[in-house]
Amino acid sequence: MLAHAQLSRVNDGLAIFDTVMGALRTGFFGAATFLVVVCAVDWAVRTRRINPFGKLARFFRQTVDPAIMPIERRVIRAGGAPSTAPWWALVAVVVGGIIVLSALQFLRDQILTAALAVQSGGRGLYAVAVTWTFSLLQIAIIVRVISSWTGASPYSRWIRWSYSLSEPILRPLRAVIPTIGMIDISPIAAYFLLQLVESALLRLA
Amino acid sequence: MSGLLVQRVAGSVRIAVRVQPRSSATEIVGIHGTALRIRVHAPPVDGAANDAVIRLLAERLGIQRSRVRVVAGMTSRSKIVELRDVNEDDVQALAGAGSR
Repeated sequence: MLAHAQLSRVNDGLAIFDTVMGALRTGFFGAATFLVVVCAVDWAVRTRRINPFGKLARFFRQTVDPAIMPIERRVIRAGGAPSTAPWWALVAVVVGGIIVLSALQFLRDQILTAALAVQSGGRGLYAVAVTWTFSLLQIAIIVRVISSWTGASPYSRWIRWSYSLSEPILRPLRAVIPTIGMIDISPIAAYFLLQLVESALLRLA
Repeated sequence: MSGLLVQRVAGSVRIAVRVQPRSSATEIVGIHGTALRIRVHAPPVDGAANDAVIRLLAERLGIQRSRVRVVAGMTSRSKIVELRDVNEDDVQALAGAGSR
């Protein structure tokens, strides 16, 4: 059990965390707005809409272009035009920002859930353990299915875990459930089966 | 043993809530694991479902809406709701009133 002092510390921490999150959100938004301008100018420089020999163009080639280089390399490798690199950099920053903010928010909610569970001892911990385990298995199935659509290798660093986690559930199901045409519906069946088992296990809490 | 998980936090009570939006009715259904299971008619758009949850809980407990706050899971089905200045027994009774 968590002592009372620790719980109130969790709450003080919560208030601080929310303030920081608010500041981060504003900060990210400001940075993204600033980057829109930078990327637009950089794109204009690269496409010669701005005099390439002017001060501004030289400044951008010197400072902004090297920063965009890693993205530019990827764009070129994927067959894109180097002049579109600033826009892809903008997309990367915005998507990255959203992912970071959502991950922090998710972490905050999970910590609060754990704090609530811990205070009630065994029952709460059991419920949280069940919820987390089943969420992880369901996420593994989703990742596996989507990765199979995109053609990513099951052995890649980012995908392998989802196969290791979902295979023990899917293999026996695949043996029982016939495919419809060429579609394997065992992941869908597994997903709903997991939900059923989860709520049955939660009912025991 | 079955029942609602309640956390006391400095004058407030926190409970886990499991919400099912876009339901035909707005009601407390019972217990989902250790969380209070609530159905709301509102869709999960622009916080409409959160508002509906707050309104429902405030009404059932006979308190002002300002004393009910969603502290976690703003965009999730699993939420944690904080109820300020309420009797813990009243909160426990919420689950009983609507349980199967």
